[in-house]
Amino acid sequence: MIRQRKYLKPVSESVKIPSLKVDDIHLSFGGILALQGISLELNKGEILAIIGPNGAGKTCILNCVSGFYRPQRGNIHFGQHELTSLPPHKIAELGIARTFQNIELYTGMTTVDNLLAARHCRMRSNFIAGGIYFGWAHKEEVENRKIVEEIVDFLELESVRKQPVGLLAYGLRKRIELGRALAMEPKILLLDEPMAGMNLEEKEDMARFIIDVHDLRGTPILIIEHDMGVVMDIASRIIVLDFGRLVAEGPPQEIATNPQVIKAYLGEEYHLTQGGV
Amino acid sequence: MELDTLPKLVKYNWEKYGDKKIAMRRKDFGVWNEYTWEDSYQIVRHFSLGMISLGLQEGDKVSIIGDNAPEWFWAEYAIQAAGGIVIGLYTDGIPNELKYILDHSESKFVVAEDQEQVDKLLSIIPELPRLINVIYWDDKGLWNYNAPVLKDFYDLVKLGRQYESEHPGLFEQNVDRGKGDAPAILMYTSGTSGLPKAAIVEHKVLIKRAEAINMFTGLSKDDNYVSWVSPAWIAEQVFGMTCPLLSGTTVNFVEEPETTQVDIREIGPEFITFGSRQWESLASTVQFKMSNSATVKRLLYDMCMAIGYKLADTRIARGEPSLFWRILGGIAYVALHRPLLDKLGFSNARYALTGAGTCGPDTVRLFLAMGIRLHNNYSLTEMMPVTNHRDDDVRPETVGPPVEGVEVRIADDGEIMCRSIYRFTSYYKEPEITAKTIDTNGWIHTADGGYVSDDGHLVFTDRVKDLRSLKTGYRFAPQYIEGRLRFDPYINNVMVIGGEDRDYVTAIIDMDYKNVGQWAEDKNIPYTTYADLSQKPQACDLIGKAVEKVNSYLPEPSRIRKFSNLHKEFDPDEAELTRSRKLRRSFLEQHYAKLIDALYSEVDKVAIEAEITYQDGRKGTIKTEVRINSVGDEHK
Repeated sequence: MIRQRKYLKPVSESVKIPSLKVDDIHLSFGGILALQGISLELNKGEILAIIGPNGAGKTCILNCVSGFYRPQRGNIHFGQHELTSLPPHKIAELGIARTFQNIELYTGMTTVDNLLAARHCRMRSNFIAGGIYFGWAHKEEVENRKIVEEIVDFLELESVRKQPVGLLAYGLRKRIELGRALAMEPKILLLDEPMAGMNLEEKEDMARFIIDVHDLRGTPILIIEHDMGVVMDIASRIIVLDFGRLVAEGPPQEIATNPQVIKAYLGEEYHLTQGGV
Repeated sequence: MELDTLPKLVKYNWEKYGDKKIAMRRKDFGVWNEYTWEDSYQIVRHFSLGMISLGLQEGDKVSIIGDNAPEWFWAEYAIQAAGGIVIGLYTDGIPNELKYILDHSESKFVVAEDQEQVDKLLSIIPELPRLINVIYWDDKGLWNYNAPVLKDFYDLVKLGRQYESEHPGLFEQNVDRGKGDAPAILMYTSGTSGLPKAAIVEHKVLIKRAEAINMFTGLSKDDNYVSWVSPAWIAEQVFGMTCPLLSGTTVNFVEEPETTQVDIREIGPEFITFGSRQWESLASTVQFKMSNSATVKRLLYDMCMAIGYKLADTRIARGEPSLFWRILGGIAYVALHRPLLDKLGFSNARYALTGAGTCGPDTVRLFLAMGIRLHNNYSLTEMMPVTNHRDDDVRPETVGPPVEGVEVRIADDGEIMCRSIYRFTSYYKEPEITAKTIDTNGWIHTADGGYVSDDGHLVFTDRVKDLRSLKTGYRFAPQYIEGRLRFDPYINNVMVIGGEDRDYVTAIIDMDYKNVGQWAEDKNIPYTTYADLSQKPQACDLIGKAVEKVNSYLPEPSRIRKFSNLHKEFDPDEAELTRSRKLRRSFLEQHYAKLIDALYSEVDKVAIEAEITYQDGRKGTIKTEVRINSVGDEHK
């Protein structure tokens, strides 16, 4: 009777979340070397940010992890699973959820239906049972709807619950993307520029949602973001890429003063004149 | 035993209905959750005992802040059961305002809704030594807060259950001990002038007033009420908190303020209270949406509304429409009014009320034409209500005849005076102001101006001190003009200006950003922000036309000659409005002195530099140029 959350509630500290280990991956498109020997690790309780100029290969890493690209060399491990040989839907089933830089929602479907679609990989009833919609299939639908409603509540989407997402504002659609990733009950979250194109207020809201998810379920988060203010505020560790190589790694304060990073972002000349003064 | 306190009424309803009837219903996680009287009563009981175990004693003050929710109501009944006094705070209050009230009222506890309110409270707690605990009912985002002052509402209910096993029967004893003449609530008045002051209101006053209201609303146990107006207003304390306790009516709570319309439609309430500003904005929305719809729809709307207006006007003039018009009315009802009311969620609405302020005549007429009798009332925090429209006697220009047990008299200077035994006791800690407000014969000096019509209806004109004279000595009522202007879909808010040193009347207008913005898009007028749009010559002309239309209803001397579109909206965070959205005139006149001077000179533009306050208390400045427009002159 009292309002209770089943899914989005604090989980105990002892819950085990496997680490994500990317080991020396190489990715090339014809003659272009997109990733040249990238290694990284994402552990429980971390928000790891990847930054770098356009074309540095940030999204390529995400695409390799989620199975859209196959690196030519190197391994990616999630716990004891080797991901490079798995198709995307198997990777999703393991508990790796992502959002996209350019929103990839079903625009003709409502918010709730978009979120329910993400529950597909957690549903067990088959096509025929779902068609008859009786017994287990019915029960399962109700359960899944409850979880989706918790996400609607969590991300404050109540007023757009039944609206087709194609009609919604950009900032809201970004939020629904995050909701869809959450609906998969992910063990880790990969966010590709969740705040691009948002105004200040929307960014603040999104940052709060990301921190809440992280605090609540201890979900490790890998985030690509251009807004340095946000990255510095929420990330526990930052990785800097430039031309497919890893140029720096460390906590936010350290990265902000790293000469390599300044060079990659602002150019050699700037670095020299600043350094010379 | 006499049922003279709210907790006694809760207990009475529990004994009468138990788990056989729904007391409250809330939409949450997309579905309507129901709470029977049994559920409600047990939570009230255990929460009350939980509060006692934390140290709540008889006569202690407890503040509550949050959107309307069952927990708000339960907390109030529970605190009152333990002999406590409840103070409702406005959810959009900034930390400094909250601090003033919490300090002035000597609150020992605050029951707060969520993270937003808790964050504000945590920032002022170091300055509030009396405050023992903050209790929240929505734990979202608060999972990792470990400030020892914080307590979860439902943890406290559990604590109360434990406490009960050690002190059986304590809650029942407390309830039985309650007295009708004990203070139930402290109502901080919105303070259109100076700092807010708190009116002490007793249980028996709430109950007697609710009884009088139930008599003419005919509220029954099978009805539904949607609780929407904040319980920090006296209106909701009577309409929502007390009336349903007397009649056993189910109280419904919407999911979020943004989902109100959808949720109301799902409930289809019989009894509904909105603030006058909500009714006005609803009227604007309907008109604006219709004026932007397809030609056929608009034609149908105009035709049916013309019929509706004709019938409404006949009835207002106490006449009986002819058979011909009644048949047309039936057709209009099927073609327009029924689907329109359904869309708004008013299909079952039998009794619609305004709370906090009265609606302008145009709004009342519009709703009458649609088939909704919108009952205006004249209410004070000190006496709620003074007058109220009766069911078959709604008139746009009046606020109705006095409610049973209330006498109304007009003083020689035009001030409305009222007297009743069912009024506030005194202002908390302010004996001097109390003595000034209630004279030795028991009359409350309202500082409002008005007159009583021949058939006993009160007509409210304006605050006496807000009635203005021009240089010529001509007296006019700014609020009346403002009410008519606000009816225009393109005008959100407005302050009308005049004075003994002024030759004519002017206005500062806060346009309706959404509607004007939509209009500009349709007309291919590019704009960036509110400030930019408000100064577009086309936007000024649009508002100018609205002013001209209202001018045509007004006597020549009180017509508006010049106006400007303000570069921003009036904002309670900057103390321009009270929290119940009334204009704070003297402050505004000071704040915009430069702009007002320009309205009475020959310039056509004035540079404004103003300090603005953000919601978190930060300050910034804004520099902009504001146009001075003459009514009737279009921009080239």
